[in-house]
Amino acid sequence: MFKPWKRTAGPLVFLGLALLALTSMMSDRGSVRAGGRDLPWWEGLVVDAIAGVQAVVSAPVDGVRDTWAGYVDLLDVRERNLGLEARVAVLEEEALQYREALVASGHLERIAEMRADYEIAMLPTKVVGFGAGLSFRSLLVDRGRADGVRPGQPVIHHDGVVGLVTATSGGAARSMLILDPQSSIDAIVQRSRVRGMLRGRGTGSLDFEFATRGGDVLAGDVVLTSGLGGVYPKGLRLGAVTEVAAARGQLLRRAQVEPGVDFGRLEQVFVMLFRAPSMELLYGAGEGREETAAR
Amino acid sequence: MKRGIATWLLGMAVLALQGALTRVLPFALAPDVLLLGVVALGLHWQGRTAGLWLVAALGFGVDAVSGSLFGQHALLYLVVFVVTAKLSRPLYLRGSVALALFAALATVLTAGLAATLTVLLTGAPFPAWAWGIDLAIHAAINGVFAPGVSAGLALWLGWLAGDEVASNRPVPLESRSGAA
Repeated sequence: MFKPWKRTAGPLVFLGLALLALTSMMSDRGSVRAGGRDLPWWEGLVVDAIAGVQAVVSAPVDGVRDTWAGYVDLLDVRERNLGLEARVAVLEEEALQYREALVASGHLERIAEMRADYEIAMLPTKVVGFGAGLSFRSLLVDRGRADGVRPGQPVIHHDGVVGLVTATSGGAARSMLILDPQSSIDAIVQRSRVRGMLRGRGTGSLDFEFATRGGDVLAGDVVLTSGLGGVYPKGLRLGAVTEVAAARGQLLRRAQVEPGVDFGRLEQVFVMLFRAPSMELLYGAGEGREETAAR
Repeated sequence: MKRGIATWLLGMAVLALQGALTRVLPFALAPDVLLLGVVALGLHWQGRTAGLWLVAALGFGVDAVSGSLFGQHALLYLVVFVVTAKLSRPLYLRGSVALALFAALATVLTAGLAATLTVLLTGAPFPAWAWGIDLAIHAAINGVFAPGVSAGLALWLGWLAGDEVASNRPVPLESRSGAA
């Protein structure tokens, strides 16, 4: 009686656990499509604990890296300073001209009012680590639900878009990077206003897919969020085009885009305490109210 | 039970360290210590059923932190654990070279399977071909680190069992004359 059970226990446990894993995956795919989820308490506990350990480990790593980067930066600081001064002078002149033109057309006041309307609160967070595994590109930040972070909120850096919050625990949040193959963003080329989809490739670069007809995209073009995907606000920098594939009679063409953000050097990022209308629809009206009220 | 919980906690600590490490090293150059740990568990863990629970718990822990579908790593780790345990003897995976090659192959297969599952379940596109280059580098790095991780885990399990080397204890040989 005992021996046959012993022989079959292993395969049965394997099957049971594999079935549990598969069921979990099937139920989780809904939340991935919706843009994320709040983690249950036990999963949140694991994430909080790991984020805590990573924050402690990251501190000396950051210290060494900052010291080294500071030393390297010092080597060419004079040359860069001269270049930047010249650039600032040119930009100041340009800004002055633009302001003059706007004042003349009476738009400046209206733009100032609009800016106040759309001002989005940003929460500074510290990157404590990246998710394990080559197939998934995610990072862990040290702020979570307690600070108002919710799934579906964009994560940005002063160099551009980093990704989207996909899961939150009490004290930490996980964000899917724009490099992840699951990431897809409605984007626009700043110069020619060509619209397309920017997709992660699972590597360090991105794919920009746009319509061949009227598709004026050149290497060096800056790619921004279009605001039409219903996830990211309009006008956030995503990256710059490095290579445009030759048209081969297809309807869609592709360009390779270098992300604006250097993901290897990320230390601090900002979570935009904002969820676009389509995200509100996915999550229901209840959860988004706090953010709207806060704004 | 105590052995399983202690090893799971060690795995979570390694996961935290690995996450911090990838802030300094590119993804491809950082070894996947958890996957190598599961391979090593397939070689050294005594008791198949308890081992299955342990690797599934490790996988769910990884899923909580990484951006994968919840349950994906658990499923992959279960498969890797069982395949490693089954092939341990026929392929002589306790030898360093065989283990390194096996770990590299396991890296490629698990990454490929993970990507395929993600494509099938979420509708995301398959990663670009350049991802394959990163994967090849990552597999080679994992191959290099596999014997070390295996030896380390054997020591850890031995320490938990109150024995220096748990599973590699030499079998005493007696000479034919009986004067061993």
